[in-house]
Amino acid sequence: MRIIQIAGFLGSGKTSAIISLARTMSGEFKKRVALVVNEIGEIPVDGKVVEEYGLRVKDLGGGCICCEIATSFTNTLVLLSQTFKPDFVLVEPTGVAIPNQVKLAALMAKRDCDIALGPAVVLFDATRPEELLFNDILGNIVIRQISDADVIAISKIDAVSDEQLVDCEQQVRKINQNARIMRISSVRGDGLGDLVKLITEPVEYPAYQIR
Amino acid sequence: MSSKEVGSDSAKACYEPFGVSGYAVAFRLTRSEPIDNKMLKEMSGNLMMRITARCIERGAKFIGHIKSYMKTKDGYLKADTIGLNKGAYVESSITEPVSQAYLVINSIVQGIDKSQVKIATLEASNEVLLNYGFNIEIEKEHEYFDKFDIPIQPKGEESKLKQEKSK
Repeated sequence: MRIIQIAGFLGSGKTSAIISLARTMSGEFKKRVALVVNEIGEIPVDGKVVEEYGLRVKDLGGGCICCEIATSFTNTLVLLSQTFKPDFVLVEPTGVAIPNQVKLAALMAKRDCDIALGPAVVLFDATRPEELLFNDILGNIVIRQISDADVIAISKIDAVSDEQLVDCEQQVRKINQNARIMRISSVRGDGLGDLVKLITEPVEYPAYQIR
Repeated sequence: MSSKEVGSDSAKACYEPFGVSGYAVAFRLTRSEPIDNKMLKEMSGNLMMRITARCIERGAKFIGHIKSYMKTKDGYLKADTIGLNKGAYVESSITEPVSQAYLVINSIVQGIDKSQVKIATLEASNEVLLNYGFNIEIEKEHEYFDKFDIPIQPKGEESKLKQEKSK
């Protein structure tokens, strides 16, 4: 069971992306896919939208899976492996979650089931790079998310020019020199096929340990 | 590595230092006459924009994500925005006019406390939904995030308070 997170800041398009990816993986790629959607609040919106597409989703509410409810997340992964037995679990953390923390939380499930860590895909909203990166307070979260990414998916590329996209890529590259950078649009479907190929490759993307 | 280090259920939340506040509410909506998909889409887009405007009026510095999900017997509608200058994105599959709906709104912003997010969301919801002829009943609500749970004292105020207490 391979754990892939589709992370990124608030409003970066995670829910739309996870729906498109899950549909492609379960349809075209014939994979068994489970979704875990985390919203801090107890009244879900994203999970309900995902369900409307006929996808199997586990809603985790009441806290953030990278810190407050990490144990609930771990237990959910163990339960999924024992019951639904998916090939892939796509995880949508909250918009403020720290990707490496999510990986570490997922790794706790390794004690009770066979899991592999796929990439942390971090979406970066092409329509508001300056707002995100240069916000004096929230910029810290965004930069941390980008730093933790194995794959940076520049999202909403249908809404910006090529020049803006190049600028976005240059800005995120300065923060993370190693991540693969891709361009996606959940509206037009751009880049999603390539992203599915990448995340279904049997390559391990380990978490780094915090000292 | 201990489970504490990877973030056990008792660990401090990752978002606490950033002043992000949220409010979620679920409404039961009823209307005397059925309303069609076009009007519901327009209403949802207006609602997203109005909540955003109300949050900014109350001092929000950054709109994280304002989003909604409406469920009816004949389909659903989702709407969201990340700011006044970005507009609202609305997607819908409501096939027949409806007079009843279940609506969930989730507002996440930075720069105002969660009670202000709640007021902004409810004020805007009242304005927009009533304008489209809906009666509103809150089914459940939830405030969350918020660094403002711990009162922040201006420099010097803390020691002043301590001195007063010790008197």
